[in-house]
Amino acid sequence: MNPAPTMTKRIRSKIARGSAELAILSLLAEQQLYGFEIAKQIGERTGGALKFTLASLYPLLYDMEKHGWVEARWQANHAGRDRRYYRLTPAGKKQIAPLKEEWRTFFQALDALTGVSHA
Amino acid sequence: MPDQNRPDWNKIVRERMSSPDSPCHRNEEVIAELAAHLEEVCEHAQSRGLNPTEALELTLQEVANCHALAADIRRAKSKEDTMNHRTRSLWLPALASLFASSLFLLVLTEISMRPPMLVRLHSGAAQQLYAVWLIGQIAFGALGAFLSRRVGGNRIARIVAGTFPAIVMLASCVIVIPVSALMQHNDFIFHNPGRLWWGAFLWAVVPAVTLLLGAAPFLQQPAKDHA
Repeated sequence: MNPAPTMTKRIRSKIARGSAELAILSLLAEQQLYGFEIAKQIGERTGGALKFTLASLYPLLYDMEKHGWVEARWQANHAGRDRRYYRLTPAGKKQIAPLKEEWRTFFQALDALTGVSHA
Repeated sequence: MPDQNRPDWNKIVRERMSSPDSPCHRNEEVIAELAAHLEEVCEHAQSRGLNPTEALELTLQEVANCHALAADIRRAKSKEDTMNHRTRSLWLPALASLFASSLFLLVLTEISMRPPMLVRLHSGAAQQLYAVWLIGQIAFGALGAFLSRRVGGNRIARIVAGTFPAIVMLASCVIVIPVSALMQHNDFIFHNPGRLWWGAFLWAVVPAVTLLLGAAPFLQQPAKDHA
């Protein structure tokens, strides 16, 4: 059995997860938002390059909540409906800079290797 | 006006996430949150010009593989739910309300035991203190309901949390006092049951009304199927 496809999938999944974490943390650094708004704003602001579905968003949010990076509480949105708003905790705020640095290093390395950023 | 054709998103999520090996369907807070998300996805799709059927189909694609989603959520939430939703939305707010109310009663009792107040107790001061205590219940009812709503408690949880001091008082009057009288062979309340009921009325029923008054502003939000 060729392990390559599984490995590729795993790497891709880790990259997707890492980028998603940074996207969510960066967005919540600006304001508190609820799940649908997080997905909507990330989609809009990345021109659709990053898309979150319910299945990709909530497990990640719950995981980040478990790690204490975000905290959530129910409150009414502008339409008067109760929504679970997420906001960044101080621990979450501390994650942003190292994550950004990690991604910068990653892209520089990729650029040096493949010239992908000049493509 | 409520839309009769509006899908029951809570029901949809609950049904799709239920499986014998998935305890996720028991997490009402997750179900409510996912249902709210789907509701917005559907409305957003309609606002972009899709008809209701198309919007519904598009939205349901989000929960096409619910077993995987349930497993992912279960994994993400493991080790987290040491304090479950009911504890946070019902018991903690209820205890906060009870604690605040008891503390207030303690302070008023302390004040009433001071010598200048003792001599006035038979000249209406006791009624004044009772009135002050009753008015205070508005704040404690509000506190319980607010704390419950803050973490997504449904309307029943908010009512119970808000009126918990009165519920405890009622339980004391109906259970604790008679049982303790029985154990101490004290026949007074059995020969004068009217006193006990009058006490229950003054210390449980009337405060329940003022507690509810305080809780009322926090019962207005649409209830979710929580707790």
